[in-house]
Amino acid sequence: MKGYWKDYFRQERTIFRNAPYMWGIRIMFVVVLLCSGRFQWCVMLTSGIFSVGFYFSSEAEYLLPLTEKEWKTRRLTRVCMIWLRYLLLGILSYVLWVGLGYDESLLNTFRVSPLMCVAFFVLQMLMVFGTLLEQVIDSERRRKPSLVMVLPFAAMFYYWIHFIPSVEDNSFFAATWQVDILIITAAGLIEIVRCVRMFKRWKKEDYDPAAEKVKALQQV
Amino acid sequence: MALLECRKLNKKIGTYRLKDIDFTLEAGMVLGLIGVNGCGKTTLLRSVMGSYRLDPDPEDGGELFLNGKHFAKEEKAYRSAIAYVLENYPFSLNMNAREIGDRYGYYYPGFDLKKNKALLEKYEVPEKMVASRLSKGQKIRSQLAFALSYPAKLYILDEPAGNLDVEFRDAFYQEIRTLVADEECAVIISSHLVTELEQIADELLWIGRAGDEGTVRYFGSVDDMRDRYRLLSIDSKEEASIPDKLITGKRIRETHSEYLLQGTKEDFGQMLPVGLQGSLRYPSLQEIMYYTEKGGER
Repeated sequence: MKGYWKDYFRQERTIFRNAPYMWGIRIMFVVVLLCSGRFQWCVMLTSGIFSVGFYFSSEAEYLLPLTEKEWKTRRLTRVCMIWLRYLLLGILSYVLWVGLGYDESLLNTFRVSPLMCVAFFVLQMLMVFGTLLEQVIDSERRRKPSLVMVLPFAAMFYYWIHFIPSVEDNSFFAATWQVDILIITAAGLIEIVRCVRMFKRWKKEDYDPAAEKVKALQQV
Repeated sequence: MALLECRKLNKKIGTYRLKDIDFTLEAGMVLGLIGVNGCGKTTLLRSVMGSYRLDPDPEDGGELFLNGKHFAKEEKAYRSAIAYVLENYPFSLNMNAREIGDRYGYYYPGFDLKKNKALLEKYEVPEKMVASRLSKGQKIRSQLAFALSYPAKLYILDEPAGNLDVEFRDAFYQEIRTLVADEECAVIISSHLVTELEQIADELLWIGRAGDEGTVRYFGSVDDMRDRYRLLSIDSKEEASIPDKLITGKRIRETHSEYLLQGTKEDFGQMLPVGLQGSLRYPSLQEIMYYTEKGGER
């Protein structure tokens, strides 16, 4: 595993040496994420769709002299590193927004039901991981979304909209806060199961230029 | 043992299938890959390189050996011995040539970054310009610089010369001759510039298309292939004197007709009237392909 981290940081140094503007884009993204506050889940999920596929969509990636295991681990390493960045920046963003008092309603929510805030954040990070993993697995990226895949997104979206607890019983969307936690937990479990299934099904596929959505981005 | 062995390669892409492709390639040889558009040349090359797997579809299959290494069981050793120059640019368009060498050269044993830089300079490729801004010819040159920067055993060139200027094309073919001169490696080159291919290739692999299947129409030396065919240019009135079984294709012109005949030397000597034998000539590869694939007006 040590070799993969070494390779990852070597790639990052290569990017910095040869395309320093990419680091400029990353710094801008960090600022956007830090300022996103409660909108961070939108920023993370949207950028997650593009941030990994960008690196792995060329034919040269499929021609590398790597075993299938090494090829998968290389992609997984990048997913984990991006997810870790999102995790740290996400926590920092909430601390900044709440700590500096920019979002009083979020601060009130955290005082009333810290468990709910944590649960929502955990669900958000699970969704981000699932999105990143989906983008590096060819068959999943090309698969049409099913209803089951949409449910965790729906749960997250509704709780985000209703992220102000009621005065009477501290519930957010459902009848009681316990049911809210159950719903978020169920959404999280669906996402975990989805990630595990994606990982188990993961096989290196044929290179297919027609199916590579990010090919269009490459023309920019 | 041959440097590259391809045994019963079957690959299905969409509704089209390459069927039972068998060929070998010795070190020091240049194999020309020819066929009409859509016959499966790029599919075959991608299968040999590893972009396409040989197991997704139940009808897929076959075995490939490069320098004794199996394509699936010794995947790493197999792939590290292959260099490529492709018509469809295989690297990210957002990287420049220097970054490509830096990023991907790491995975190829013996990759020399300094040599890569020197070759980019020699081929006049701006190393800091992103690939999306390079011309097609510059993209081919940058790929060639990458391919020549590590000691590969097999060089795969997919339609490389079409976008090169006349001057560089000459230098390009000279590079190929230099590559195979030491008989350590081999080259597979796919091209529609059949006239030029005829000059450089030692052997030919001709993929013929029949409906939704591509099969080997011919595999062997260029000279043997030419020896099978003769072109006869005569007055249309004399067609009756040509045995039907010899005619592969014909083209009727205003003043005369041209017939492509297929057979052995003995066939031409025995079956054709003596008067016509003097009018026979060896056809070019282009003419053979034209008459065989199109059938002329047959």
